[in-house]
Amino acid sequence: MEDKLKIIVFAGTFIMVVVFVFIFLFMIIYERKRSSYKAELSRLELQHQKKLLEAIITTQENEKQEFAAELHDSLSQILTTQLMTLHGLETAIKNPEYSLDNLPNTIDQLKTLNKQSISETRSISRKLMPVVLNDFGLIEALTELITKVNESGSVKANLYKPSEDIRFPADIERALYRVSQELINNTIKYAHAKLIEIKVEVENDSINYQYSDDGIGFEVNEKIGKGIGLLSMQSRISAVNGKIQFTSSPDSGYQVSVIIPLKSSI
Amino acid sequence: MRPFLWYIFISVVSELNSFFLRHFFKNNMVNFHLYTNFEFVILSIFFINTINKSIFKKIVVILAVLFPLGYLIHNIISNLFLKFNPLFLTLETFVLAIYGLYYFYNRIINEAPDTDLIKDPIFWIHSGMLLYFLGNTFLFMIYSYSANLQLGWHASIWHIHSVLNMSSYLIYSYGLLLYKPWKTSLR
Repeated sequence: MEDKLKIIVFAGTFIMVVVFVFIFLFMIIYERKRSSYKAELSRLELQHQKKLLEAIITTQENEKQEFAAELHDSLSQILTTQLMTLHGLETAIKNPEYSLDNLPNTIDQLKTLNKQSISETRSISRKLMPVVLNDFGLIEALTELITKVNESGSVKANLYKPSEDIRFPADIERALYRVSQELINNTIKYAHAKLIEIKVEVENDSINYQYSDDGIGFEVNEKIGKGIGLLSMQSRISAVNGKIQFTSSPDSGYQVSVIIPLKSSI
Repeated sequence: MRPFLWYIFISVVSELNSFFLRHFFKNNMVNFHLYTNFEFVILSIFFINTINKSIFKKIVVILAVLFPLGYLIHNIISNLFLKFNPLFLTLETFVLAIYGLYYFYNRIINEAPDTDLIKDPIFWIHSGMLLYFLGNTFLFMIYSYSANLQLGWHASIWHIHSVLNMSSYLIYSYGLLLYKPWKTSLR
């Protein structure tokens, strides 16, 4: 009887020891896997941050280049013409045979050029920062943008906005406006879409922004790796503590969801 | 986690009921049969909630339906309503031990290792379950063997069973202390 008891006690103890050793080994293996998983996560996070930073720099460089090109191609040309007209007038005045009858024409010409340069400056300024965005806010600016898109006739666009007039912090309004411009630009250039829809809502102290088109779509993962367009949008939204998610696949249109918390940014 | 809390609650109720039945009627086996089936079904539900593979989930659901049916049929055929059913008890603990082992396998192979095990209540509950059910699988096998050979090992087996029971409940308690809704309501 004593032997039988010993066997059972031994068997019971053995089972418990085996299970405890198994759990202990499991914990060791799991912890090792966890530390390498953490290292991999931080590496990916760092890589992503680096890509975002590169996208911010590239976007800024592109904007500067565009701005420089606008100044060179339009405003600079008008001012050069103005200067040449003034030089011509100076030379003509020095000529004793110059008739003052020609002066009003030259002044009119200079006035016209001056008006053109003012108009061009305003146009560049509007492109850089739309007046309506500063004065009336994101919703009005998006309404104007949508109206322009509809007037162009290339695609139909709808905006679903909050019923009451609402202003958000300036950095958020700028970020969302730029993202909308970029998205509309992409849709018009590449998507062959017939319809664009933008929805802006305020839910649980967050701005919920949805963009969609019914175009040809694309593989999101491929695009994020290649172009800076999506990364630049991501960087703009990250800068205001928001999250952006792109959803698309070939032939299923393009959907973008942005959530920006309002509490932290106010 | 809710199925496990129900399991603990019903276990306490069943333990009390078992005590009174034994005291007044000398036999508490009907209560024990009901409890065994309840234990199998509720722990299967708990297990389903903690794994992510849908094929395995389906198998668990099928077994959760088949087990009580098989148990009932076996009890009717062998007239075991007022007796111990070592076959189905061994089967129950064996299947639940396999679930426990699968949980550990799934955790290390299929899931991202993003949680701290020491602070994970589900991990501790599965550890307690593995200890209890794996240990009892062997014990009930020995029980069946000793019953066939008319050996008087039963009392010793139940002593080992009590040690396993206490150990697993200690681990469950630690797991339940880590359970967050529990913690916040205690504060």
